[in-house]
Amino acid sequence: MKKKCKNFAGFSMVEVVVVLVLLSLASTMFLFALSTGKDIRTTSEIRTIQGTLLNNLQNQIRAREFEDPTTGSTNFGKELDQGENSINQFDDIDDFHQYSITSIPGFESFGYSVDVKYVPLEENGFNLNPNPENQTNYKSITVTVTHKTLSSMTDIMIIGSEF
Amino acid sequence: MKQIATKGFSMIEIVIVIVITGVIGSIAASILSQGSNIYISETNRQGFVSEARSSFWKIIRESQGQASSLDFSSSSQKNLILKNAKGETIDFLAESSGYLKRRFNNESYIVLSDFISYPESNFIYFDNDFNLITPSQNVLTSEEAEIVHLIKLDLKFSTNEDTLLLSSHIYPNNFRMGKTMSYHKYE
Repeated sequence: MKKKCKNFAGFSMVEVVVVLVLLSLASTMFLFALSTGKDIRTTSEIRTIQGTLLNNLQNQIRAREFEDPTTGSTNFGKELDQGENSINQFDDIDDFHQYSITSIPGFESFGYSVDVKYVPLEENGFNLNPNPENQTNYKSITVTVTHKTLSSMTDIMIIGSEF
Repeated sequence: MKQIATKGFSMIEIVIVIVITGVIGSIAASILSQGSNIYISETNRQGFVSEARSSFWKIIRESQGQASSLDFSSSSQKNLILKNAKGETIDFLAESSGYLKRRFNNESYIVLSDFISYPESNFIYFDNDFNLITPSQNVLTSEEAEIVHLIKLDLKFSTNEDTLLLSSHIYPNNFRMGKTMSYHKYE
């Protein structure tokens, strides 16, 4: 018994260092996993708000009239009618063309941008990138909700003159 | 029996060992408990956000199916009364106690969320020119309901630690059609 004790050597410096390094790696990975979870949650929350804001503007646009523009105009009525400077004064869908806002009141890290164009109904469905752009009975409205740090969220809807 | 003389630890050595163990242990415990606290708060927050999101979209979905603006009559800032395509009455109520409730056909209320911040949660109504309609007698009369063109839903959810404001306009699909369609007919 006594002999055995005599021969017992402690851990060497290298062994202790290796153990410490492994332990610290394990704990770092644990904390990293936690922060990844937090990032995912934050992202999903931002996406929730983004989706709500997108729905918000789409509904506001849908509430406006289609209003056929004056024929012969090169912009097909996309120009703002006089005195319509804020969203409350917009009365037709075209008014939202190139409407953009970098910081939405109440949701400061989000922004809006809108693009309106005429799209023709073709055999395979709507041609979303007509060239040249001619006046049709359908308008495609692209709404983008931007965010300061995350990617933006975009949706396209089509409104026809008869619906 | 012969007692073997062994050299034990001195008092100071033991004290030093205990102190060092205590320091290392408390650091480890604080790191671990921090981790578990983050996990607990994240889980709570996730539940909170998904509850808010689901109750918000339930209201939006039902409102989008609204057939006629007349059906908004007797709605108020805290109580949205709708009719769906089947003619059932759907009623959303925000209460000062923090509850957001829903009921079908005057049955009993079902709680959608209990995190509502009452003063900031409103159902707002706009007319054809996007002007605010203020209910003259707390609730919309049938004349006032008839001119409803657009609704706005503001819901603020809050707990002790978290707040989440969701806000959206709602334009019922059928309003774009201009009139009640045949599939909306009900008695």
